[in-house]
Amino acid sequence: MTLLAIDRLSLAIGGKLILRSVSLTVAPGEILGLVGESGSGKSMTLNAIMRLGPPGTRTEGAIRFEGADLLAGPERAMESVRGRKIGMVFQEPMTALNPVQTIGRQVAECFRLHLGFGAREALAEAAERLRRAGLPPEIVPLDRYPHQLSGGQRQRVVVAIAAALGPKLILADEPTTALDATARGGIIDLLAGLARREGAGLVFVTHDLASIAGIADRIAFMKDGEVVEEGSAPSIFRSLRHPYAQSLLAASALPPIAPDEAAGGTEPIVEAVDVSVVYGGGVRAVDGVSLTLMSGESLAIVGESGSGKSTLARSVLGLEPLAAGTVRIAGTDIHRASGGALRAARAAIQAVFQDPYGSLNPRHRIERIVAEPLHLLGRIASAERRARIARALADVGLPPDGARRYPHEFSGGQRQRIAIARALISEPKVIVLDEAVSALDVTTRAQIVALLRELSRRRGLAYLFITHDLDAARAVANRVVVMRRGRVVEEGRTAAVLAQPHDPYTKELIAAAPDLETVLAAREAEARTR
Amino acid sequence: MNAFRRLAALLACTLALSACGEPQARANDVRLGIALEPPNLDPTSGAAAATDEIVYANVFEGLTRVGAHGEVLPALAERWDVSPDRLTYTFHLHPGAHFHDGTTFDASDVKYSLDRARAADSTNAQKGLFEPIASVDVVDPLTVKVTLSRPAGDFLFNMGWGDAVIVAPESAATNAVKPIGTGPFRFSRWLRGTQIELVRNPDYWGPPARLDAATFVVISDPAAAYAALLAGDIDSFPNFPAVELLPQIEGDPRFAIVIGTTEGETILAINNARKPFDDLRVRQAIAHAIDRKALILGASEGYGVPIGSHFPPHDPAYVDLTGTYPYDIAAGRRLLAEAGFPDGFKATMKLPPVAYARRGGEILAQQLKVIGIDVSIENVEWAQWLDQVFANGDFDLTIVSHTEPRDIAIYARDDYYFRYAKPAFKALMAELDLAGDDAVRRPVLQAAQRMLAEDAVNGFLFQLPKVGVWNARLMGQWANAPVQANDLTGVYWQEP
Amino acid sequence: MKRSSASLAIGLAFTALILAAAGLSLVWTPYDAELILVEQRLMPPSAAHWFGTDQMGRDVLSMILGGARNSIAVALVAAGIGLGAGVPLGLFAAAQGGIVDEIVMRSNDLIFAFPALLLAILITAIAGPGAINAIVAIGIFNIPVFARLARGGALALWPRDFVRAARVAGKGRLRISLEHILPNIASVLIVQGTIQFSLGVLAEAGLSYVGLGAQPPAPSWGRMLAESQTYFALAPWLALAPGLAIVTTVLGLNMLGDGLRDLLDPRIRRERAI
Repeated sequence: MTLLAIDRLSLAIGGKLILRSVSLTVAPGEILGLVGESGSGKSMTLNAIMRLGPPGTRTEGAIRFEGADLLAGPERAMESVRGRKIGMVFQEPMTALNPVQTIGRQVAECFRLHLGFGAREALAEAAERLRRAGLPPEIVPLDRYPHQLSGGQRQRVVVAIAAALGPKLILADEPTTALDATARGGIIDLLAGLARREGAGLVFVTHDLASIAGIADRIAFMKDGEVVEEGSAPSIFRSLRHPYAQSLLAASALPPIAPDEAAGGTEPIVEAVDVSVVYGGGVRAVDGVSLTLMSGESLAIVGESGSGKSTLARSVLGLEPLAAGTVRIAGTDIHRASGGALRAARAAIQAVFQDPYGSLNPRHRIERIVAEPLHLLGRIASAERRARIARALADVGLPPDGARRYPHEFSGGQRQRIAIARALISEPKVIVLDEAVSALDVTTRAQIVALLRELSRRRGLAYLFITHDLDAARAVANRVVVMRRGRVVEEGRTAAVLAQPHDPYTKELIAAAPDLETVLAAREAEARTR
Repeated sequence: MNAFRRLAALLACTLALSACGEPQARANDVRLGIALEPPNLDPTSGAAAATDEIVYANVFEGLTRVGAHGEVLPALAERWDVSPDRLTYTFHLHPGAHFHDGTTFDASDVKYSLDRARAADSTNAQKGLFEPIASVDVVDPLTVKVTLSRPAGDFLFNMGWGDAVIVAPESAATNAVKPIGTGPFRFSRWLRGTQIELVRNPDYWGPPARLDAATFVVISDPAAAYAALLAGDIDSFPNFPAVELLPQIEGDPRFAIVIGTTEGETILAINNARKPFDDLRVRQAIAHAIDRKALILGASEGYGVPIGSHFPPHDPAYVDLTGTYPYDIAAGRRLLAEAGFPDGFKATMKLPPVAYARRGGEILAQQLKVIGIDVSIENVEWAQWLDQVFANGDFDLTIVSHTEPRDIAIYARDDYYFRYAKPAFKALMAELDLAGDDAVRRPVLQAAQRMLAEDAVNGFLFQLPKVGVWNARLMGQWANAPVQANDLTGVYWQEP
Repeated sequence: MKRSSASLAIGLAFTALILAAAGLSLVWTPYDAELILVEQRLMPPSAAHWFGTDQMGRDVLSMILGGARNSIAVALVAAGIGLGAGVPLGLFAAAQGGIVDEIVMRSNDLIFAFPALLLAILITAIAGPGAINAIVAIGIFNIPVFARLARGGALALWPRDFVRAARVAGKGRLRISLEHILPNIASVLIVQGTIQFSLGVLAEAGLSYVGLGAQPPAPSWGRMLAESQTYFALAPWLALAPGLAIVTTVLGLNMLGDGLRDLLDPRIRRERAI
């Protein structure tokens, strides 16, 4: 008996077609992985099931849940379905939870609202649900507020709420994308456990194949509002037919860097000695870190959120005041220099940040954005300026007529290219990339990584590559430094460290974020032994 | 059914009981509205008109007092003798009078009061009244002899001013906040900013007051005054502040409107000591530019008699000089040109916060503009006006009403803010002092009026009317204001 | 979008009407607003005098037009003072942080702590009444409003990546405040500007009502209201005209501000492609 049957669903918002004749099924206890990039319509599909689309949404087709068409019923009917029969887990746990209510209260609310439980009963039920979600009240008391929990713990609360009333179907929209590697595994297991133990159907939307490759029973690939391929996992991965699905699979596995590539020359470009950064309240974000980056070398700094890697990056850029230590860029102490020496140092080290939407001033044209660092080079004639801008855009693969446009006219990947162009224009010796590919789609990530490698080869650029994504680190960096709680716990050649980690934390990191191949191999092995 | 009926009966009883609420009988007191709160309650020390409006004849009494028609009446002195040379006045005092705190009243109190008023360090606002006194002698407890250094024609009238009331040495120092007098009312309390309360003095030496109590409530806003009157919160406004509202009140049988006269000459005061106003031609030009009729209509809703000099029209010695410089724009422009201002000049006009001044000022500013004088208006508060204009003479033009009775002599004072003090005028005032009876005084007064009018010392506008609005059953209030006072001694409620 | 466009349209219409009245008064009014003709006093509205005449015979419509000029001028310049002094102050405080921020914000709080109209009355009572002092008094109160708004907006922007990128490009705090921060908070400031403008009109009317605004003979709505009080039963048009004028202006400006806010915010959101 099919739990959920989406039958030729088409959806349009304000005249624009978002979903085209999408058909999917989910059986009880089945895990369906819905994979696609941004704009593929995967999130919209989930919203359509719950009828959470914006006003002005027109639909055609049917969504049958336990036989009844959800699209045909009145809104009141949906109110009894949402939360009780179908639960939803969103991407960003901080915004899914009410910051001013305790977690106990928020979970208890389900019982009070839908089942009319009294306060005490509801709280008892809430405690039980949180325990099942991996948050036993002895360790995480019910009167904690969301901001007092870690990202992973918050997401567990969200799952507890979604699963509280024993729904038949759980919809999860990128539930692990915003989490650290170590937390990710826990949530995936939690959701998979719900499906297996309680027989709930699970639709798991993601852009990251590796995260569902281990648990999905079936996978559907979506692009431009259509389902382009679907089939049973894990066998489907070995027999993809649609070109898009194939390219997505290829892009998921980034080719690692060659052992002697980006190994660096003999001239030190960045020398950080005993750097410490202390925040208000005595928190040591960076605690006595030293590293050296040679010209042309690519060094990755990996760690989870709170490890201090971004703070270290900012202090290397001279953006964050040091509590102790020095940072030299091509010999100049960037924190103490001034005037011409400072400008020269700044021209030598540029940056690309994580958020392609936030790193460009929405009110400036591209040419102005890209040319921003030029003032470090003194007076430049406008003809020369225009030439440099055109060259920088060409270097990153963007057409020169893009210079007159505004950021909102470009996609995320294109914007990140613009940010790279901006970083190149002052002809720096080193570029700091702070999670520069983490917010990108799989295919875009692959493209940008390829671009970065090519630029490094052609221009002898050194990279300081900050990331929590080990795959990306492997693909870009020759050397890696692992940070935890402000300190360096391990360092060495990337391939060596990731293959044979010494520090237990490094081991934990690697185990928590396996790449697609490893996951598939493990699953196939398990399938054979059964 | 039974319960329902019981409920209805209960309801009816409640209604009936509430109907037999307050008795309809009226309390025997009066609430009067005044516009300005007095700075203090001692009329003999730095008094303002507002002080006298509360305490004159009610709380304090002098040797003589001024009656409703401006006549001189006996008060604490029951009779007096004047020597033929008019230099010695012997006052015979009433026996049995005493102060509100119980202390007796006798001749020593008279000597104390008069000596205090005329002392070098006296803070009396009208020291000039006591200037002719050479000595005050106690003959016996009920007889006082006052010797003058020169004859003073108005002496008996002057002793009836509020500034000349008799105070006791025991209480004089605190009269400002706790006035102790001999009058038919006692001071009860002063709620600053709100009201001053008086109660009847049961031990008064003369005929007792007919009211039990009187409260003077300070209401400066004209709209609030009107509302208070209609609501019955205030029984009487001896000087109703919003003349424009009279048409609303006329015809309402609850209220009586009584329009009388005051001693207030409303003038456009000119600084005679400042250029170009020191030139007679300039002042004449100003006089030619004034259209009194339009002014009275706009500033005072048509209430007010035009004047041509500093003298009230209701006084028998009055001479109508309004035609001295008739309304003539051409003449005005010509005179200004002759004085050297063919294109006019700029001047400022400082206006105190009274309706006739603020409104009158706007109208006059425009009238003066027609002959070329560009007047810019500066609205000031009373404190600023008293300081800048009155005390320091720092002004070009201003508008104010001089409400003291028989005050034409101010034009002889060197320090008075219009700075006129012409020797010929001073001579006239000296003559007036020497004059004995009215027949001799009258031509002197008339000559004085003429001199002021011809010299166009100030712009003489109109006599301020006394607009009294009060409950129609309240009897005995003055129609006119021959002195600044609200004499409540004869006020009573008429039974309906 | 429908709801906000109605707000914007009505607000724009009312504001345009008052601005037109003010502008018109610069070149023409039916009669001289300051001309006193006592014999023509208290005439009810008629073909010759659309809003009648006041207690001095002045044409009320002309006074309303002249008063519009006065109200607009005072409120506009006062809002300008607030923007011109407050925004740089707020931007400076956000850029500097630390003790400078503390000093600026606590001074702000000090001014906020005073009831605005009372302090405006105090300032004009000390410095003297008149339109110029009214502008200064009201302007002083606009400064902390804009300072706080600019600072809040700036603080939210400083950690943003594009500002970091500008810092990496070596730009100083002043330059960043001008080139990056200010353009991105402009829409909030504009909306607040219209609100402060309407508050300025109200404040000017309040000051004029107690006699501390524009002095006679210059026409002023607040003074017209004060003087019309005792004539209300006799000549209600004397109070209705300035009252309606004030209400129309303040309502119009508020609706304009609301409409602008709705208009400007979604546009910024729409710029983010999902």
